[in-house]
Amino acid sequence: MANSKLYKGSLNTIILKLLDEGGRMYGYEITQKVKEITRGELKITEGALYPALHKLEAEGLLVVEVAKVDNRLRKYYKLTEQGVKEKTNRLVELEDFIRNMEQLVNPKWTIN
Amino acid sequence: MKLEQNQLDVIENYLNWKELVQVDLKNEVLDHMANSIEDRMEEDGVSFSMAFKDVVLVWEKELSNNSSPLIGLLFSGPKMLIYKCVKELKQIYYRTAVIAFLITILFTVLSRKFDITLFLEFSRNLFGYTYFLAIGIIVILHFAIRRTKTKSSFSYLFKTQAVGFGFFYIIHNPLLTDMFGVFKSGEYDFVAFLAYSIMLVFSFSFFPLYKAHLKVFNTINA
Repeated sequence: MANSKLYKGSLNTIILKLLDEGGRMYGYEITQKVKEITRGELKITEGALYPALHKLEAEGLLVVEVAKVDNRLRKYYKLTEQGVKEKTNRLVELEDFIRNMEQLVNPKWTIN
Repeated sequence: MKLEQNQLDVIENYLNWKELVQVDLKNEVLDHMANSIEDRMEEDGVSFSMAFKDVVLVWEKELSNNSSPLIGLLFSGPKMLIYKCVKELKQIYYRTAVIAFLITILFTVLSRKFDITLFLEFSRNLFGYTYFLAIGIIVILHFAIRRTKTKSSFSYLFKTQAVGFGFFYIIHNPLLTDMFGVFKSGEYDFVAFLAYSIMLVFSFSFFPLYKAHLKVFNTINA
């Protein structure tokens, strides 16, 4: 993952957001979607993606469905009801974080 | 470009060789590797064996042999499996520690309210028979898991913990030995009771692990 330290804390939120938009997705599809949206700038590594997916599943935010596709079993992830609520909360947190960072990096000075 | 069955077999054999045989992880990695290989073959126009070699390099770290003191150093497996099991086990240990601590506090209160000799005899029987029961349940669940003819990360965790705790349930069984000397001493020992309580509470973790394994089994056979 490019600048992995900066993105690491947001990976779970990115996954929740993608699953909210994509309905159900499998691991490889998530990596490709992130690559496509960021025009190859951000690459989620296998070592980061699967532990994150398993953690979200263990927390009850994701549910798994398995289907046979192209002669192999494919594991799809989709949001649970709790996952949908959690996505909203985490997105708000992430947006606040981005706004605060923006103000720190590019402060707008005003004269009182 | 979709992979042929024999090409999928090559990937599966590689994962088996790497000891990633737990279906909840293996199917996922196999599908991911197959997708990567298909994309490389299509986009870069390379052969299956070339694409396979590239993809193996990408996964090398995640599939490297690993172990953890938390699981038990006798056991090893691919990093991906060990990492998942350690995460699961940390949560189990945390829950166990909290509940065992509360139970030990209850024991402390009871030891002061009742005659100490009677209390120690009662707790000796309670721990002893519960440990025997735990061994029986572990054996039954072990065979129930074997009957599914499927391996999952949960069955791996079950097996590793059953070996360790099964051993403890015998060598620390107060009906067989008095390792901490607490029952002979005739005095209440908080630390010894905490250790006995931890073993007692942990025995309740085996059934949820069995259930999680069954869930994986049912999902892939749905």
